[in-house]
Amino acid sequence: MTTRRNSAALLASAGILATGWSIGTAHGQTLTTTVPATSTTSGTTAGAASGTTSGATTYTGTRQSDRWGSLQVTITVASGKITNVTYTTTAGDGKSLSIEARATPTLKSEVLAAQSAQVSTVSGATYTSTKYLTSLQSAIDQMG
Amino acid sequence: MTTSTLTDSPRPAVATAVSGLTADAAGSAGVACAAGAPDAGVLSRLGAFYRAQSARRERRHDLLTIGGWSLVATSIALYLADGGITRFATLGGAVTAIGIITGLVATALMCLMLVLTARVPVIDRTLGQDRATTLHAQLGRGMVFGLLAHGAFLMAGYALEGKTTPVATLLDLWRTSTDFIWACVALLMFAGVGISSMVALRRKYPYEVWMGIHLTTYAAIVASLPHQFSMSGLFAEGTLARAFWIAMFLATAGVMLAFRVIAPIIATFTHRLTVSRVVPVGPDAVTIEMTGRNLDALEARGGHWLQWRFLTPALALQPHPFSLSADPTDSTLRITVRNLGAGSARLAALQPGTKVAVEGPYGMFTDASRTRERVVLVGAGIGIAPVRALLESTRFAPGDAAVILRASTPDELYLLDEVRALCATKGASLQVLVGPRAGASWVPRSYAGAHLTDLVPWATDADLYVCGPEAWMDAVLRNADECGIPALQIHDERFAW
Repeated sequence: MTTRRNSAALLASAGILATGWSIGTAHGQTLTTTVPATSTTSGTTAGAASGTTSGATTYTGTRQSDRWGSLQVTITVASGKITNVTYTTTAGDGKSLSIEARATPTLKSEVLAAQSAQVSTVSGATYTSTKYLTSLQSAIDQMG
Repeated sequence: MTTSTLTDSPRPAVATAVSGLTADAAGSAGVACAAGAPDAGVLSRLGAFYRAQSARRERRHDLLTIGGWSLVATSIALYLADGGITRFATLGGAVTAIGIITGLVATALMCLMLVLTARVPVIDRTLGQDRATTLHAQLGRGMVFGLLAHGAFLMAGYALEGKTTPVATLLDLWRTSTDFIWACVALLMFAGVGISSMVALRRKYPYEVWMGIHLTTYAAIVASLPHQFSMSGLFAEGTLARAFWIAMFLATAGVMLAFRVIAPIIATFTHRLTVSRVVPVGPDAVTIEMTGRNLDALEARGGHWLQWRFLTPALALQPHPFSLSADPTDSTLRITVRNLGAGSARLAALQPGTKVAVEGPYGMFTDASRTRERVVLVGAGIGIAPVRALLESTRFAPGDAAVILRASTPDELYLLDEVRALCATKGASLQVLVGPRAGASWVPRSYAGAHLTDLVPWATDADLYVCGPEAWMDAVLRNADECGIPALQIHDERFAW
């Protein structure tokens, strides 16, 4: 009786785990593009300068990752001046997203004012600030 | 001093067989059966009924087991479905993944634990409350270790991934996340509850202290909630996993609220139980009779126990688990209680008219766990009370039931006259064993070496019900095992009364 019961339970559990596994690997491709986050330790994705449009050039910095996700900064440069900073994030949880949403406008305005990555980090958003400014620095480095 | 009450039976024939125990063990069965002459039709009908009842219970047990395991498996599957498997590519990632999985499993176990003690009728009718509580404690150990591993593995994993130390990681998180601080507080509380509920410690604390420590669990659960949703990407807003996790918590809370709070309140107000009489029935023991309305709706049977709360200033805060000592009627309930704890001592002073709040009925020490047409009831001391109620309520053909009562002194054979009368009316044999126990055996010295099957030769093909002091009960169960009585046929109820 007990053996029958336990083997049934074991079988059911194995089925559930296998289902989870197969869903996980089926989404594997999409996941690695949206969340390369954690398996790549610290930012290794090479940054790249992309298109020049009407005198403005965009430079994309390296992707910076930590346990909450990865963040990549793109700057727009016109006549040698940084005119805009945008970023993409893979943070999946509400808390990280809200921290980023709070910190990045401050970082952006400081960067535009200082025209460099040498600005102070936003308190309570140390991780976000570090990722943001490191990626930014690599984009600035590409300006040459 | 004991030989005069050694055997005590309404039937001289059985008494003779018992006296000549070792020489003529098989004789007692022959005499009992001949005296009862069971109708073959009744026997097979009852036998088929109880076998079918037992099969249904086994099926419920199967489903509950599968359900429990499935919940734990699902908690891991959620992580795998989220691509968690890719984490195992690096050492740091793998350690982190193990940390996340242990946290998920521990949380699933926590919900199972709570449901096990929520007194859900289907769980009570399948496992019995005492088995459910034992399982609760076992899962509790697993949960506490799971949570400690969750914390340790995550700190180590994060440290490996971030190329820093676990302590630095912890301090970092402590500074940046309030939810993390709450999670740490929750972990400490869970560990505290786990340690304090270990059996050895539990005995030392009064009931209220132990209860208070357990209530800390609810605070710990609440404290642990925010970080599960904010710090793990797994349960991010809009994900199916989040919906599942929230549903799991809500279902657990709902079940607890329904069966531990709402149902008892409704029962108390519906039945309006009132103490009608308190009668002394032997050394330190009283029978408390209560009247109420529409008690059939409680569906209490002989052998059930309930949580009783006598609404006097001194007793209202202390629920007591006591077994019924008689089969209930639509308007009366009866318990027989021995004074053991300080709370029990006050029960003797209860005044008629005292209102009573009840939770229950609970337990599988009833007709509902029968698997065979024959039945053996064994009770010792105040454990005779539920045996007497079960004897009254359970069905058997005359000659198919044997009752064995035991006590150290004749005074402690509570309700003996009532049991004797019931045995005579229903056709059960009665054997009374009095005297100090023979070593670790469950029988008195004058019976040293006697086995259950010596007293009741057909015991291996019967249901065995045992109720009495813990150590004595263990001895009976050991002997039942030695006699080859299948575990499925053995029923015992364990709680301190």
